Amino acid sequence: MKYIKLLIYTLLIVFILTLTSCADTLIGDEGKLDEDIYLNYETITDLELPFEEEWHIEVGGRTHRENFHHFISRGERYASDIVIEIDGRIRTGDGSENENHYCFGKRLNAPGNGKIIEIKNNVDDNQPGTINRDQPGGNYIVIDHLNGESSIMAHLKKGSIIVSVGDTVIKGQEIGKAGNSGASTAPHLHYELRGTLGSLNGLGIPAQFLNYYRDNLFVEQGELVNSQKVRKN
Amino acid sequence: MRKYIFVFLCIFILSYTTGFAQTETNTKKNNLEFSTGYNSGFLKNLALAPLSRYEYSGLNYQLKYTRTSEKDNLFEIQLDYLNSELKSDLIPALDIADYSKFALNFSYLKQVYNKNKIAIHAGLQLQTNVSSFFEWELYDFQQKLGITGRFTFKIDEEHSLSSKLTLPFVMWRTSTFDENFYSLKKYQSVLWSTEYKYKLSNHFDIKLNYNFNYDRLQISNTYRELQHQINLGINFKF
Repeated sequence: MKYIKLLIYTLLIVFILTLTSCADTLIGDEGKLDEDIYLNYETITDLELPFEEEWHIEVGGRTHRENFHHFISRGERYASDIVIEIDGRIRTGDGSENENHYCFGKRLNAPGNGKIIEIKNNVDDNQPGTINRDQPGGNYIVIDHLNGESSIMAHLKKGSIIVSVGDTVIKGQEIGKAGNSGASTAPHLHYELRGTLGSLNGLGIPAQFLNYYRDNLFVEQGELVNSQKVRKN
Repeated sequence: MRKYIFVFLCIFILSYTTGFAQTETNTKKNNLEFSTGYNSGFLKNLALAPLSRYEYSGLNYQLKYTRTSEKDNLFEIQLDYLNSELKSDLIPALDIADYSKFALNFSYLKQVYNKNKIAIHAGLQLQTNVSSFFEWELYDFQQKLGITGRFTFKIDEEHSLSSKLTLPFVMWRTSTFDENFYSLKKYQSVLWSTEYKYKLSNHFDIKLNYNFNYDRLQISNTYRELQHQINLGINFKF
């Protein structure tokens, strides 16, 4: 009996020690690619801000706090929501009409050279405060930069997209207007950069824009972070 | 506060260890246990953050009620709670200061063997896990159903060892990240608990237990969680 007890105790201790020492195997390596993107990815496309005038970064950045609703999706992790803000306000009056919002109907440009591979242009704009979850992107454009990266611009104004699938666009070319379609409660531009090749396909990647002004200071290369005011010139 | 509770519990247990007379012999049918101890955990949730793992540690609290039937079948309810901070050495900017986890288990185990100080029970376990990140701004709710078995070895009148293994085979998950139903093809989990119990009196036992909890969800937003827990507790029989 004494030996049976000793055997049981020994087996239990050995088993527990084995389990506690195999955390690496049980947790696995998935996520190393996501870590590498976060820490080391450099945007390939020459990107410029896709709008005229000065815009305000409402949601954007690389932490949960800065980019809350995008950061918890691998596809949208580095996306931004951008509006126009004047004197600390994004609209006139009570904002009950889309036209009250400063960014509604403003010109949007191609952020980089590429080819239009997908558009949607017939989704109604929402009344501010309401949302269309059935067509979350609303009216949107996907530009393949033909280098493993693609830009997605979403929630555009119904019928405002002036390019077609298959068109080649150049950086700065007008392609549509800001709107309030899809999963959007107020007019804004949703911008994101995604990988299109290999293991990066479908994953959100950081978008580093070139030569712009951030809070009136010139930036050679930078990412959009919430609360910043940005403009091209 | 948690440290005071832990110290109080240790003093309480030690006082019983040295002071209680053990005279009664009748078997009690209800057990109420409270235990607390150290939890060491690892979490991977690729929707939550671009990290191959978070690590967390801290105190774990466990409250358990067991009802033994006339035929020595067991009905168990167990509530676990922990509150910790998710940390990553690689990208400290993504640390999450507030991570809480509740686990509520309901088990029914039927005695299938009882001979020579050994008892074996088998049954089903329904488990609910709720995790909160950033004070419920993000959440993860998981409902699991699994088969479970308990092996008990009564060393002598005062000492016993028991081990419970649960293998969930289906999970329904609704969370900020995902909403879906998973079966064994994509979801694998093992919950293993082993326990040493010392009888202090007819009304009280003390116990030391180790819990191993592991969950793996094989989807593009990979989810894996591993916990090691060592708990010290007191068991009131009535």
